[in-house]
Amino acid sequence: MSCSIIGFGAVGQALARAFARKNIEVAVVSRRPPAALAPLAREIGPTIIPKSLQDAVEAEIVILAIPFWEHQEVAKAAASWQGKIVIDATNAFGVPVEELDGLPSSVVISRALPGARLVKGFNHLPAGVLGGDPNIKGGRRVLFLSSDDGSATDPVAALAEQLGFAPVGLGRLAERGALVQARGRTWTQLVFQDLVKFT
Amino acid sequence: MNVGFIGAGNVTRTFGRHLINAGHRIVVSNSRGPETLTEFVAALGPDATAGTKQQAAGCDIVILATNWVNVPAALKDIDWRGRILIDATNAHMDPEPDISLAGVTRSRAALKGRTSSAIVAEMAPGARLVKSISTLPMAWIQDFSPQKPRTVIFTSGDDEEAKRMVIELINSLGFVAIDLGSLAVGGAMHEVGAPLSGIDLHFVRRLR
Repeated sequence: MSCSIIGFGAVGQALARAFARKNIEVAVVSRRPPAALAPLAREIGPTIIPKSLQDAVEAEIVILAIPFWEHQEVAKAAASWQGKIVIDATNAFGVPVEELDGLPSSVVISRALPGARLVKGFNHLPAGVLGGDPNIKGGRRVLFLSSDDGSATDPVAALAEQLGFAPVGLGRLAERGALVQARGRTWTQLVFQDLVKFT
Repeated sequence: MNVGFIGAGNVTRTFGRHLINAGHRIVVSNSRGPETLTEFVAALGPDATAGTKQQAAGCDIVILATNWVNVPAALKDIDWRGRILIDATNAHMDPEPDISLAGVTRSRAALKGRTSSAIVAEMAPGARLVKSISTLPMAWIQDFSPQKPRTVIFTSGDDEEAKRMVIELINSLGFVAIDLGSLAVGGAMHEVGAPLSGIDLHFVRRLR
């Protein structure tokens, strides 16, 4: 499936490194024009392709690696989000819960992208770890996935496996997924847990 | 710390040995009486003693480690009020646990949407219940050396202080207990057939 990473800061670059490690093509986008990203993209690997935001949101899987509120800007870039798989790798740390109407931040993003099939994931590790080799002593680094769309988790889990991670599906965003989110100024239990799966 | 076991099977043999290696003492009980446990505790050394179920329940922390079908009998005739009880059971409905997908699906259906710990809590009124240890086959923690991997042991409970004591106990053995919150949310995630049950996770580090 075609993939793009929206955001080319520390997390976006870490994700790009994960794709490059496995020679999987991925589009990358930032506020700067594609040509400005080219040198860094080339340095990360030949499968990292800078694109415009409008072109990148055409991908089948779109990964959000941006500061939380910037999803509102990204939302306008696609004519339709219907059926598109969106991986929410953001963390709304420091965003007051009242500003989210008490909802999990991923639900807020999901509502801003009508029809998108949102999966929260790739958000629980700092960029330096996320971009590192996920193969550790023969085990694979764990990624937690949560979603209100059960079948959307499957292709994201498949992508995580292609990248060498061990996906662990938790369940719905508001309930079990709440274990791996930022809420106000707190991080919940599974955030920052660097775990490796063996069987 | 003194730790009591109700049930004398694989969990007790394995976890008991880890506890003793870390300097704890254990009391082991079963349904047939302490005299049937002489060899069992002898194999674990002088820090393990056989006792009655009531003696096991008198320890600082009590571990329920029986097959699911035996849980009602195991919890009977003990005043559980104020006692810290670790639910290390897995709700397999058959006397011989059927861990096939079909067996697990059947066992989960029999819970009728309840968590297995809610059922245990009902049978041990007043206990400060913590669900832990249950989610991994004992075959995965047979390395008793100090270099053993830091295996993740998910833990949940509604009594924060009891849960903290259990987490400290498990961490004292060289494992890593990860708190998943309440029994209703977290406990449901690491019972039989749930996403955090039966996966062999090793802790690398907590990054912040």
